[in-house]
Amino acid sequence: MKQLVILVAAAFVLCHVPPAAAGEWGIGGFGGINIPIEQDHARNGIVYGLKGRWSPFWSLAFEPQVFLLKNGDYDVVYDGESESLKSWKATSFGLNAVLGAPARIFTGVRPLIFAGVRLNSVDFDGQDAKMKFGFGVGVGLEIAFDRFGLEIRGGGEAFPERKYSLKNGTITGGLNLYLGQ
Amino acid sequence: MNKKMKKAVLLGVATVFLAGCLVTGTFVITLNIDDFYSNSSGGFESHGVDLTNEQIWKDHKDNLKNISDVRFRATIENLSSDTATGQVYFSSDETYTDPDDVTSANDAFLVFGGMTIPPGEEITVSFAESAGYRQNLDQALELIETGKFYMYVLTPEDVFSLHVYDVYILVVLEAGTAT
Repeated sequence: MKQLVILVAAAFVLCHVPPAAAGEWGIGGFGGINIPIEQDHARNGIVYGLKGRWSPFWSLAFEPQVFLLKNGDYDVVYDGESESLKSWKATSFGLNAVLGAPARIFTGVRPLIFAGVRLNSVDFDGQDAKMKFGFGVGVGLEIAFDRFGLEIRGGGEAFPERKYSLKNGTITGGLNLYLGQ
Repeated sequence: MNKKMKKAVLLGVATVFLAGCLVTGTFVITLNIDDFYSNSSGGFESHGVDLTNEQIWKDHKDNLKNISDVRFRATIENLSSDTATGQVYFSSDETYTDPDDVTSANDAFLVFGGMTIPPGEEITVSFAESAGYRQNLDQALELIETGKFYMYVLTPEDVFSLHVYDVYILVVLEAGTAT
């Protein structure tokens, strides 16, 4: 664990953005798979979305984002037969804080961690959609070039209800385009 | 993925769980109900649904958080010479023997309604289709959380005779999985 902390800290230092880079902004898109955790009424599905990115200073960036998370259908077995039923889906509006992912200055491979809050519209099949707050965390790697970056992220999204929360893991790939200051 | 990267991914996922305070999961129970006849003139009675005997319920009853979905699947045969509009009421009371008692009772409420069955014919309602007939869902989910309830099948028409078979109830429950 100590080695991991040193590695992450070193990455942040290496990715340090000079003050001149403050205010850099960009846009991006991402997509991948979502993996429901301990949910018998959901199967692996997809997640995709769009985001903006703004780096006010240092190696910190903020990402407003919107994404759709859709779970795969699940099968109900009864008396030797089965029926496929739609699972739940969510449209999420969120804001991530990202450490280690500054805007276009440093090229190469850079690790990042992120955490954010969400306003989710959770839609169970055949029921009215409900707006709920949620959150997400994760880690990733970005291969950054001059004006764009390719990234892969893994993380978790939580969709709290009144007394429990649905949780999904996500693995996404994305493309970021840096547009300048 | 190297060892350090795996640790980082696990750390991220663990953070989600810890922030959620408790690991929760969803579990699906599919319960078969015996075939039955429901008539406006005699033979009208409740049909019990007891989830507490189901292994999934037994496994998670101590950490039960919520019921999030209910559906049914059934074939309903209309034995009368008039079109019937099938209705399913839920109640905590099993003693009603007259359709008017059910529709006027404070502790009975319509959960599925609107299934049109031509005279002398039958229809099969799938789990997916039953969601389109649902009413008073929140009230139904609250009753199901008690583990036992009673089902009445009737129609708004004064005279009806129904044969209901291949009946299944599907319930999705949310429960903690941490011990």
